[in-house]
Amino acid sequence: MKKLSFGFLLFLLSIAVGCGSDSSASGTAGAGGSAGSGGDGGAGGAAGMAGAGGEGGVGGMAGVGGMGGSGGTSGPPALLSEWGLFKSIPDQIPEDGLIPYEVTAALFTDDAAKFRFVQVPDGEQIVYSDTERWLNPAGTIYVKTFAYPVDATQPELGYQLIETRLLVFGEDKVDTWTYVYPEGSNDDAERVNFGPVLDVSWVNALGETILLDYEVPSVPQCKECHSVAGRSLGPSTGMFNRDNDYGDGIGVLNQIDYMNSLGMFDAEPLPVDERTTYVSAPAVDTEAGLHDRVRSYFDSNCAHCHAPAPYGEIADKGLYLDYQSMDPGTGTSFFTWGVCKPHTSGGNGVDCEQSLDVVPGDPDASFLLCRMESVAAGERMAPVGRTIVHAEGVELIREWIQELPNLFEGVTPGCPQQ
Amino acid sequence: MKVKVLICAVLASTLAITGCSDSSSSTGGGGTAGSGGTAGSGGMGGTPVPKGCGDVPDVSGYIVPNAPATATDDCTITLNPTGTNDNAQIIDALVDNDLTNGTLCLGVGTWDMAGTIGITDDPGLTIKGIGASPDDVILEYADEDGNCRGSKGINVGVDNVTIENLWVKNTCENSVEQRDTDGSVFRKVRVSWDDRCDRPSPPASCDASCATTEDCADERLVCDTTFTGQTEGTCIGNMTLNGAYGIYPTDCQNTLVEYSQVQGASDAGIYVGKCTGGSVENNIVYANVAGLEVENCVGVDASNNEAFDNVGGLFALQQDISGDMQSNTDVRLFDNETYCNNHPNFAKPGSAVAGIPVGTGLLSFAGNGVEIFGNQITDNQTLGIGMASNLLNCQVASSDCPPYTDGYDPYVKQNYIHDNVFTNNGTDPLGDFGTLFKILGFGSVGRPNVPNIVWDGYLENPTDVGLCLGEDADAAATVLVIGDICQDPINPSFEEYITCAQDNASTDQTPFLCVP
Repeated sequence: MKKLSFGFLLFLLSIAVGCGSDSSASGTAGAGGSAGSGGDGGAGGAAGMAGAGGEGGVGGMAGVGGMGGSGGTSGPPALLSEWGLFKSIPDQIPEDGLIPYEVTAALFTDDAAKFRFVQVPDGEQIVYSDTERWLNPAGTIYVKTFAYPVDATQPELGYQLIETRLLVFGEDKVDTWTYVYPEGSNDDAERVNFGPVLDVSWVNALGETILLDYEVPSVPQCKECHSVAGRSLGPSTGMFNRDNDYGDGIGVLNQIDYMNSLGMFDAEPLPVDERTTYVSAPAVDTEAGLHDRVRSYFDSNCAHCHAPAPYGEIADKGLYLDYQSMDPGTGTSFFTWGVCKPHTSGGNGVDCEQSLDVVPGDPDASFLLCRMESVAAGERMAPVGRTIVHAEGVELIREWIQELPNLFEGVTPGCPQQ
Repeated sequence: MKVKVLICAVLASTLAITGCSDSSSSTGGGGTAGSGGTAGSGGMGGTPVPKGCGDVPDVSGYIVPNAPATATDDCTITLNPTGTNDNAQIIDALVDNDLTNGTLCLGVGTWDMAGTIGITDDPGLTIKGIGASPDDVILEYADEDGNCRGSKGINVGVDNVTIENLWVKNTCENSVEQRDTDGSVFRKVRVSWDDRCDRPSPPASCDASCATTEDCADERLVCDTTFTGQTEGTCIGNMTLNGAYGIYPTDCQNTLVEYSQVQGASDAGIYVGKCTGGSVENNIVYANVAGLEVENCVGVDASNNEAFDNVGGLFALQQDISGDMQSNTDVRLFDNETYCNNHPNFAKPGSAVAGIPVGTGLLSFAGNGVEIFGNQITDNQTLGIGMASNLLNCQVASSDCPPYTDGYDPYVKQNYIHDNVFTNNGTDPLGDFGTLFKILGFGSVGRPNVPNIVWDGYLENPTDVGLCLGEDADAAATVLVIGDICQDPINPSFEEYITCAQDNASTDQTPFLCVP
């Protein structure tokens, strides 16, 4: 089972700190309330749609939370329930207007199961593109709950919910909030800003008990990557173009067709077969082409930083692993894929001593692969959301590096500076 | 013009350095010539004897001289350390309050830091310690076992943030980082990593005898034979595990790093990369792999800094990192002291700094329009100033260079190096270059020291000017120039390079006397 490292101490501490800093805020940083109100507007919209909060959304939050005075000043709700996003949090049943979705190529985050949802405010639309990441109107909320089966060999035991992350688009910014479920309860989650490390245990499908130091990202950590106003990192046509089972009365539909039927896009998507589509579950789908799998895998696991501007604001070292940059048909530079590319600052840790990102035909000489195989903080890639090795992903990239000289004319084994 | 230069040369070791920046401004540092005024404040130029290995100070405390006092009466919010999970209260304060242009004050004591402090929402924010010096407000990222937690220490992502008067200790990765922002100030920031053997719960085999690192049986330790080349040694803390960079502004504009003190970085103590404008001044960097680096910047000054006991002291670097900032241009390194940088190289193997020759005073690598003047360069055993192209880098490794990205220039160009004071450098050069210098007759017992400036001499075009020493032969530095003829691929291996150097190296400074 899961337990908070700091247990109730943390819980109490965060409440106490919350109150303390709120009181100091009210005295000094009066502007805080108005700055935060962009996000609250979105919340109000959510509540309105759900019919839960109505006009007094913010006030209602304070009441529901039972947080006394702390709810009324500024900032987002203390409890997830106060957002009014779910009919049932434990069962992850969304309110009307909060649309569930699945992705083709999921980001690996320590094998966590995820429940994903998106809500666009009434009267607003996502700026749709077949190849670019979507542009989200103010008030759009993406919701992702991270969970583990209690025991994957006994599905009837259900999930233990770990955290629910909210990505809230404002007029010129993105807010990120993380709600952590207390040990042993899926009923509601409390906002935690600082990113605690949780002891998580679960039983996987092989019956193995897995113990994790589960790292919840801090609010600032979320914003290191979720920094481009209006842009989402994952949501894109390639990521969404797949079927989903919407349940009673709706059934199985293509997600983009369904979202389009709800009026969520500003433009008519291409016919389903003509859309950019990532390989589903690329790490394990051996039916798909090797490079297509790699493009899809890299896009979801690396391209939130390793992409050209405006997306790759963080890792601007010239290693571009997004789906478009890895299109072999359009002016490709193997160098920006890391082929024979020296890394300039290779992180910390001592597991990886290779000097080149990707050496065609020689996976073990490739720094990129080593960092995927590392779990050392400061060395592992991706740095956030992963504390264990994604074995299938490593295997895929290993095969790709091995096969690169056979996949592309112009790539020869080895590198000149080896 | 000639008179002015001559005066500069005569008074080079005193305050005339300021005057020199006038004449230098015509080379291309013109945009930033206004900072000549700062140079004047370097009263330390008046010190008659340059600092050397006998002057390495006791660095148990914060020792940066003349640091300005930090105001303590302008706090928007003041927090105090609890000793447990203090990063949470700092992040809560940042997230739950609008601190735009506000000041978050951190009280005296040791802050228990289990994770990174990110600044993502509050432009104009100041975070500062309110003690008498940085030593009074310690952000301790190591846990009770001495192991680091989190990733970076402080990560700045918005404009006009100031970090001041605090001590960041034992971070896993970079201690203070700034990306893609304008106008940050890092003032009186102390950064250090404790030796593994001096931390709580040290490994059992600290100081045990060893022949190899395996004998130390603990990944936090390394057998010092790795550095000494001896067959018997002792197990010491593995500094390679320290964070890469101390203070790391990158993709920045107008960043100021001043009165800071950085020790123990496994890459660079202070690094300024891909930045436009800004300056690094009055800092002390020691026991890092690279003391201070200015890489792929435009119009950045590094002045009045003190670098000692690093593998190499000061660096102006132009690396092929693709992207927009491919040049290190209009960069000035002046009025610094770089001495006794002879620390064994503890960089991570495979990293760019792993190849820095131990005993390097100052290195200019592939830059265009770098001006180096008024520095005191002393007791660096391999060389005082090195100038190298990226091509030489490949040659030393006896490998082909990678294809360079469009827009990258691997050659040294327009380096103006004048009015520096060199003392006792190149006495016993180490590494591959040490071998070369000794073969060429320098740095062995009974032989002269390695000349003040060593340059590979590689030119892209025969008419290019790589090095300018000023006009006055008497004041100009001594040089050792290997020669364009030895350029790869004519001599593709380092062995062939050495042979070529024997035939072609020159100590004639005449070709480089010039009016910039």
